[in-house]
Amino acid sequence: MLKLYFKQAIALIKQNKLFSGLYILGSALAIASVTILAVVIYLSVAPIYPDTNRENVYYLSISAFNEKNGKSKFVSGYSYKAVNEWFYSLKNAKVVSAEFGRGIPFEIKQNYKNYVFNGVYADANFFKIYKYRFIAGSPFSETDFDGKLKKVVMSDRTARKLFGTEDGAIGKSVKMRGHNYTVCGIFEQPSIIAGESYAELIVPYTTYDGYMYEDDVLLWYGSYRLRFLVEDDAQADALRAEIVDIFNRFNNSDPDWEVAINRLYMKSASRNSSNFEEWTEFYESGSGILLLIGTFILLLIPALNLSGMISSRMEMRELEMGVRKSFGATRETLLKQVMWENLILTIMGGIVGIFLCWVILYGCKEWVFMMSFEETATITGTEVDITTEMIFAPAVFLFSLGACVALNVMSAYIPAKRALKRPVVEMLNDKK
Amino acid sequence: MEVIKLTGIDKIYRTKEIETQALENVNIEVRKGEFVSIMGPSGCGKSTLLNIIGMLDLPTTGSVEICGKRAENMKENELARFRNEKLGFVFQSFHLINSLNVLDNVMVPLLYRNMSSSERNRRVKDVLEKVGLSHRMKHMPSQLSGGQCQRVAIARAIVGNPEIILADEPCGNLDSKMGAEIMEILSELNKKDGRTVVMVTHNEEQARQTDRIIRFFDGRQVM
Repeated sequence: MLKLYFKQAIALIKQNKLFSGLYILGSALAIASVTILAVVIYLSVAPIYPDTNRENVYYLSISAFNEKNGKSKFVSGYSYKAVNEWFYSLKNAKVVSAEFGRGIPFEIKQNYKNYVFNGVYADANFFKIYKYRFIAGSPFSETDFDGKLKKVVMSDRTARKLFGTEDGAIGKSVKMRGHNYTVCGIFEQPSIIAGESYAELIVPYTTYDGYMYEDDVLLWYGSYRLRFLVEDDAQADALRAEIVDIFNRFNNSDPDWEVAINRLYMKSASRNSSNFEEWTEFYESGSGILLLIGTFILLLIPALNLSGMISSRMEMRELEMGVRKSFGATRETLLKQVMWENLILTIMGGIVGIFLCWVILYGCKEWVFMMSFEETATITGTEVDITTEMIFAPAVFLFSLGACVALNVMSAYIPAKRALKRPVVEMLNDKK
Repeated sequence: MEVIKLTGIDKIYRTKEIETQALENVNIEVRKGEFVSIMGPSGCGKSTLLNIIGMLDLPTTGSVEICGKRAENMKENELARFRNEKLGFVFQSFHLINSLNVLDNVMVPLLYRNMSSSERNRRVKDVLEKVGLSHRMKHMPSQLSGGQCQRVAIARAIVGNPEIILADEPCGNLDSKMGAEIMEILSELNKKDGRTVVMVTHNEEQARQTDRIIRFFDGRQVM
């Protein structure tokens, strides 16, 4: 039967090329916009290189430190002292890593040219959380980190810009912020879409002159941001409880300052805790709701238009439906037939839409992705890399397929059902 | 044995403003294997009557019994199944589906039966051979002459092996030569296969070729 529906759908396309073309185009535009939305949201939570542990990587970036007498307040990251005394020793995390420097461009002068890169000062644990693929050399080690050795790892693209080579860059030297750094590893360039794991070059934070800086007024606030790799959700819960415990102890013991625990913000790609008491899952969060509402709106408007088209086509096909009814077709059978035929057209539109989506994503990737991931890149003109794993994701494909079915049902069900209600004699006498 | 039994049939079309009586106290019995023609001027209710016999429409009052089944007692899906199994329709304007080729058009009644596709194909090919169109199976209706279209329509009407064939002016849109061909096919279906045929016609000569003529005037049987 499906083969027959398919044959008839093709015959109808051939018979009414304008209608079919407009219908396919309308569906394609709707599916393209839904798929773009799905890709953008998917990429904000999907495990993509080098952030392949995305589900289980949690971030703690800022705290509000309030003076107990109410006079002053700091909202910031953490100091080196806080990182060491509070976080590195946490029991409920597989890996704890601290970093700073995002947002400050790394300027390098090489061969009389000035370059700027998105870089980060990190510890050696950074590479245990993010699975960077090294194509030459290796990341700096804990010994390098502890020994404050001025080593740098950089992306292949960065190496090509600076030295014109990738593996040949190992052992070469670059001057950054007044110091000479030796290149010890070259990794595959990640995409800016990889979010918090994205960097073009990474150096040990112990090589930064002021890495141990402590403020005279409050020893605990600073520029460090924390990231934790946990085993699972349960360990994340335990980790959060452990951090609350540390802050409570601090609040009870420090005579002058306290951490506003209810203003701590901990997050992973799929859930976040804005009051530090409960998690908001992805589907409850802004992104999940945005995807659902966005999909509904993006489908509803074309569905209404397509519905009008289907309605007029059903009028054109009344005689055919009347003939089928007189030879024994029931309303349900005919409704099924119309829905299947329409689904075939919608899926054709969907296929065109997915191609259109890829073309838009490739052609306008800076515009599309920088809107969503602008926090990651600090340098104007940072290239946006899109890999096949990002946009050919089965999850996105399935979502688009679901959108096709939804569009089909939204646009065809009511006009088809209404048209099939007419008495068979009226259908047969229709002269259209 | 009667395969069609209409008793006291009235059909009234009502709108807000007017009421039109299309049929008035019609009583008809047609025996199995009979070839009956219904004649009368335009608007006398011939097609309405055929629609009622074909269970495409219900009378306002009266009883319709086809092959022993009362139409008024049947639900929509039962009526559909009954039409599919017992009745075959031939329309004046052929009513072929333009987006389907000859083979698929003829197959339509079989799509609503539980049947394998090879069995469907076999039956369609058999009936197309019977109406002399086996060489046109892949043609679209637009590629056929009027007579060929009507032969396809007849093939579609008989492919499901119905007991009764209802033909509404089957030769009305054809020239006399083609009309004669169609009459020959219908007579053959009646004589050789023993099918009951009820045909609406304006043509006195064609009507005389049938076993019995039922005449209508202003919604009433006159003979």
